[in-house]
Amino acid sequence: MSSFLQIKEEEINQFVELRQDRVRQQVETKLSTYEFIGSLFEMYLPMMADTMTAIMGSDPIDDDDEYRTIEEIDDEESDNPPLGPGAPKGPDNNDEIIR
Amino acid sequence: MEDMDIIRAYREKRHATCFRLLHDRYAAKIYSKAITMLRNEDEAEDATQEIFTKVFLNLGKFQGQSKFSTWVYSVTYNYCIDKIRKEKRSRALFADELDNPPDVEEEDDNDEELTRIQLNELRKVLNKLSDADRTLLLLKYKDGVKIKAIAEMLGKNESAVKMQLKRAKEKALKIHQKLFPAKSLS
Repeated sequence: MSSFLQIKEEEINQFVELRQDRVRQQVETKLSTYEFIGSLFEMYLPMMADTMTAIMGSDPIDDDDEYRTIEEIDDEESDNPPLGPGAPKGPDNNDEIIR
Repeated sequence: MEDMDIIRAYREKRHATCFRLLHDRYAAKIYSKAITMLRNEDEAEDATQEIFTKVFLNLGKFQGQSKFSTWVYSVTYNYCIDKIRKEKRSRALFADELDNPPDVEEEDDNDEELTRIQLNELRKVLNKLSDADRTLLLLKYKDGVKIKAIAEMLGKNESAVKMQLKRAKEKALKIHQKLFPAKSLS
């Protein structure tokens, strides 16, 4: 093995013995901090946007209680196709339930 | 386990074991390359930390078109070059070549002589060399960086790098001869 490669091997061994654990820990801490800040933004950004909208005089956007996927919406529509104008009103029509 | 499998698993589950596997596989190599460029152990440790954070924050962008190691090493060199430039060391580091651009491309055969120098002798020789020459020799012979990559890194053409490398090798051999006259390398 050439002396250049021996220098490389020594540097690698020295890092593993003395520095590797410390570096790993510090990177892990940094990554969790970034992740935490990211989650905070994700959680509070819509709320902040609503506050800004309200401050500027508009109505805040009302959240849907339930978020559905496009597939769920499609499935629901295929189960209950929209009624034509002449269709009778009745229990099948969710807008008007007769008791 | 292949790098790409670990990366996929990390992306899916953010599992600490995947992080550790990749970290322990590459951190020491990054550190060794950072020492070549930054020439300071503590700076190299900080750089390793920053580079790894960068790599993991951008892991989603890695598509696997090149090898993970290639990507990590290019992040390492770019980071170190940026750091050197910020500290305005780059001009000083490669000033000789900028002031004195070579116009001839030559092949030489003293690679073998250079790699035959004993470890303790090599350390002394490297200490006597200029920063630019030492960095170049270490990039080429310790880190195994190709001439083309060194040229890209330094923003020069390949023949300029070859010439600078040739001069660095000649200087190293001359210093070796001066320090250890009894030892013949040929």
